[in-house]
Amino acid sequence: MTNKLFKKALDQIQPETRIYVSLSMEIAARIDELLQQKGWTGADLARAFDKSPSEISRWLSGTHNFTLETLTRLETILDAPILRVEASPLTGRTASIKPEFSVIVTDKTTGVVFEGVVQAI
Amino acid sequence: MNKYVSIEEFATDFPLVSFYTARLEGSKLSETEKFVERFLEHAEFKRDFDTIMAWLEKMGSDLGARRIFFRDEEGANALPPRKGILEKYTPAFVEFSQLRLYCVRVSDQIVILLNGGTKTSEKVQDSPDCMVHFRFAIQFCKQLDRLIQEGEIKIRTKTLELNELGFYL
Repeated sequence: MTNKLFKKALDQIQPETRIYVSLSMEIAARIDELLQQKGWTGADLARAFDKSPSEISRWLSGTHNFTLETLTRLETILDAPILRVEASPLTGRTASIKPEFSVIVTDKTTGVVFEGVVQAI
Repeated sequence: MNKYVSIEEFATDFPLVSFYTARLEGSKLSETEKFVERFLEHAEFKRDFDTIMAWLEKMGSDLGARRIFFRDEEGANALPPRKGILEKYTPAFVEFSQLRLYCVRVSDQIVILLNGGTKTSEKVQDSPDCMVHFRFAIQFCKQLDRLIQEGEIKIRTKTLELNELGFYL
């Protein structure tokens, strides 16, 4: 059984929040698993990372907003992948997204003559 | 006067975790229903509330009730867990975690959800909205531990087996 009120609450979760929580918890769980596999404690990781044990324990809680740099260092230290992103390989298709540039054109005497965004052709 | 508290199922359909809750004798709503009903439509805490709900859902369906996913509260537990050090400097996360849902993590597969509130100060003692639920959780947890030790409550993988449906606090 699932409580009706709880089900209603689950149904109303913002999709963005659900994805954020899911990723955060998976990263924390993955790091925890890797530590267990290596037989490491948070203190061991803290030493390897040159961080305080309390900071590492916060990392493992699942609410830490990791930077890519931190995750890369973690992957290097733990010698295992933590986060993987799947991107489709290029297959010779022409890119459909045109980059945009902010442009400011100035005239030495009259000042700014154009300020805006242009798109690459 | 001692209050009689019964333990009842809250959400047992998840493959990895069974969630239970507590109900005070004579109360129309369980402790967790009171929390959900209070914050479900509360715009100010929408993100905090959604985060806790998503947290429970993820534990139940994918990851289990691992110790790392909980905040320790003098023997009892609470959600969400302590925030990471970087969040202290990230404005978007300052508001995050104002909400607390107290609970007792019995095992990786069993969690008893209680009630909670808004924590508006560094110390829970200075947050009256949380304090009452914090105290209840600690008291509840002590009694639960005692009954598990005495064999009055048994843990069977995803199920709590109770000789009595509840106990006095």
